[in-house]
Amino acid sequence: MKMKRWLATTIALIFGCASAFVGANYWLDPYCIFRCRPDRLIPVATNERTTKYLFGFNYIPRNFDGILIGSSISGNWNTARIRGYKVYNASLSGGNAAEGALILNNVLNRGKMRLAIFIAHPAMGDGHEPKSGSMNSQEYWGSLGSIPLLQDYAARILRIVGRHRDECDGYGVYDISPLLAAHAVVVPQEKVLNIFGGQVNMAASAPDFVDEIAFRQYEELIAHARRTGAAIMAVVPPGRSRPGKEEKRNAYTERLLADLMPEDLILDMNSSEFDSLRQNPGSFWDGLHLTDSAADEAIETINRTLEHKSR
Amino acid sequence: MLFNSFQFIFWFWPVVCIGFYLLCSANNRQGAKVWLLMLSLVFYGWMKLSNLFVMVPSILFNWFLSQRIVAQKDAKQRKLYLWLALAPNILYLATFKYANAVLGTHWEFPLGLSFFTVTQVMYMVDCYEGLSPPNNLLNHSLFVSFFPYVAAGPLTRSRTIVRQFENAGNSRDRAADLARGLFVFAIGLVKKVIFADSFRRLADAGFLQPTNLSTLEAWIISVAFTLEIYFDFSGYSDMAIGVALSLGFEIPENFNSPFRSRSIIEFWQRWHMTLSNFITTYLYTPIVRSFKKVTLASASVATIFAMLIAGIWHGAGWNFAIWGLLHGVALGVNQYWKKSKRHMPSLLAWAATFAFVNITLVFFRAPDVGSALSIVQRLIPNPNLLSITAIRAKVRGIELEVMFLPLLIGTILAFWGKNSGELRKTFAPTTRSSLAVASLILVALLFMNSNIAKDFVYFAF
Repeated sequence: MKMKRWLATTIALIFGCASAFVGANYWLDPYCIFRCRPDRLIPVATNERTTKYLFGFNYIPRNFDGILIGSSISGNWNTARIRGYKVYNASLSGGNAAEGALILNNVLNRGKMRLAIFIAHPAMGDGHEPKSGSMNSQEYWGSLGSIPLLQDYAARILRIVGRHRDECDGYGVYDISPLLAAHAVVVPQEKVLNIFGGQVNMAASAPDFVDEIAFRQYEELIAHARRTGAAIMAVVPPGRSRPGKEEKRNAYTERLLADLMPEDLILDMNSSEFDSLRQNPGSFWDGLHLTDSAADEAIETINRTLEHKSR
Repeated sequence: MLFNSFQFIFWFWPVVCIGFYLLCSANNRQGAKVWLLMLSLVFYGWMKLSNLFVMVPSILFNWFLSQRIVAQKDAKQRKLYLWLALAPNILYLATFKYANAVLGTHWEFPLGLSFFTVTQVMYMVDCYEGLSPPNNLLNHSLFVSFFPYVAAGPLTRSRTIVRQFENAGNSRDRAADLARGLFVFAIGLVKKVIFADSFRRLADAGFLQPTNLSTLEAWIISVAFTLEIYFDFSGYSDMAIGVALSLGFEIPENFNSPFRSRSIIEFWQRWHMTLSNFITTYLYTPIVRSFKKVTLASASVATIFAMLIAGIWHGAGWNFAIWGLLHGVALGVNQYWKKSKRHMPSLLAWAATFAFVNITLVFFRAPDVGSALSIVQRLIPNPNLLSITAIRAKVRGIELEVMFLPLLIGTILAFWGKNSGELRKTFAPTTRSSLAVASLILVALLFMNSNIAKDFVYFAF
């Protein structure tokens, strides 16, 4: 082959293949960014952070009128059961306010939410930096061709042949069954009691370190939702703190809720009203996260609070 | 601007080539050089425009002094002008390099300052020695700021490149230059975005939190950094060589399979070769000449001094000085060993060389001496021997899935693969090589679009 021909062939191959690949990804649009069909529920196949971040561009604003921002604490709260609103559960495993903002800001810049639910848990103030580099504007272009995109395709294909379970459903709700399988079963009652005795890492329930920047990010998150006209609801999830650290946790939670307005809804599941839920060891599968049935109870409580307000 | 960015690959590089070859075709060689100079300044100022205010005065100052050096008939005057040129260059570099450490300032280190200062120091000395003719201002500006090597080398001597500028566009087969350039660039791009960035994730995971590493983990992360810096810097050098080649210019090779070395002397003949040449010619030789008698002992002392300076050139931390000093001492010991004519089995020699390079690079990567010692301590077998929990806690499973193949293939290639110089010699315009280059670039683009493009390690020096 002559050099000129080699050069032309190679450059044509590069541009041809790259264009075809980008074109195919644009057409397939797995994150519903470019040619989103409304009312098409898309589960999170893999790469939770990237996928939920990209869903913020179009999928969530187009298909939902409510959003829940939280961490893994609220990951399996089935928001599809919330009545009167279509709420996307944008909780992230280990997510904090900085990461919640990356999703919410995209959503609010492109659509209108009627309801924004914020989980008021110390995890939201755990650091003021995103915990991974997989939620940035580069991912937008990555949806036209990137390694996470290929992983997403692979996961979807494996799902079809029954070798993969989606991480979240079309509402963003976690499927915690693989986690339960990894932890053998729902933690037995006596072990849970031990967990409550402080044998597992529950530091997040009563952090010793207070990150002021993270607090400000959390406040700004709520303020942004309020500015766009969304009804605000803050939910303190049920939980137990390490013995002797209740005061610290309560003070932390109060600080998180400090900027709420009288018209905002506050649902504190650590109040005595929810003692039975919190003290039932079967409510938690690892001492910290709610089992699906307890999460359903939490959602039902949210429903009652919303209905009470609308009356 | 980064070589591994879409802006560079899809607009800057094509625009440079098209403009350059159009001007060359119109027999406008001066225009072609001005074009290259303009775009070199755009390339250099792209990340931070103010960087130009650091480089341009340096170019003008050194050009002026080089004219003065050459104009002097009297040897003493020539020497005086040489020192008048060298001292401000060293001071200029030292100010930016060490002010933060010494004066507590927070200046950002200007891109490529170490490299363009060193190239101009080489040029001044060559002018003084009569080895290099004085450049006119256009040639000198282009020689210093030429975009393929301005940010991080390879260190190129004026007499190597200026002669080529004078013959710009004279190549008989421009398509061949472009094709070879693309081939070498593709190799460099893959080295950087696929291999170096994968090793970097693993190395960062350990170096960010070295206190709870097992012996196995300490070795994994230290080897990961050794391979990261190799792929990062040799990848950068390949891309620089490829881009220059696409314009018909040959710039020096920088790496020649360094991990095949069986001694430290051999290692420095294969690793960052243009820096090794600089150290030998412009540091070691003058130091050794300053001794009254050249003996093995004086040569070893000169080596240690030269390597210490090279270490300090890399940064203000004591860790860089220790790195340079260790290599200087090892080179000295190696000289004695060589003289003694004792033989070491090849495998043992290779293992000892690699282990030494690997351990000393811990000082190069660690933020300070304390952290470096903490990791080096963990390289020695301890009760926490084989655990990998610290790495597993830092590197998520999904990242490992993506990184696994690059890590495996990268390790094999670094030790046993052909290097880019060898591959370049075997390049032939066949359908197979066309498919290979296109595939490499496509996979590299996929990786580039997946991570935030990472800076090159040597941009910091």
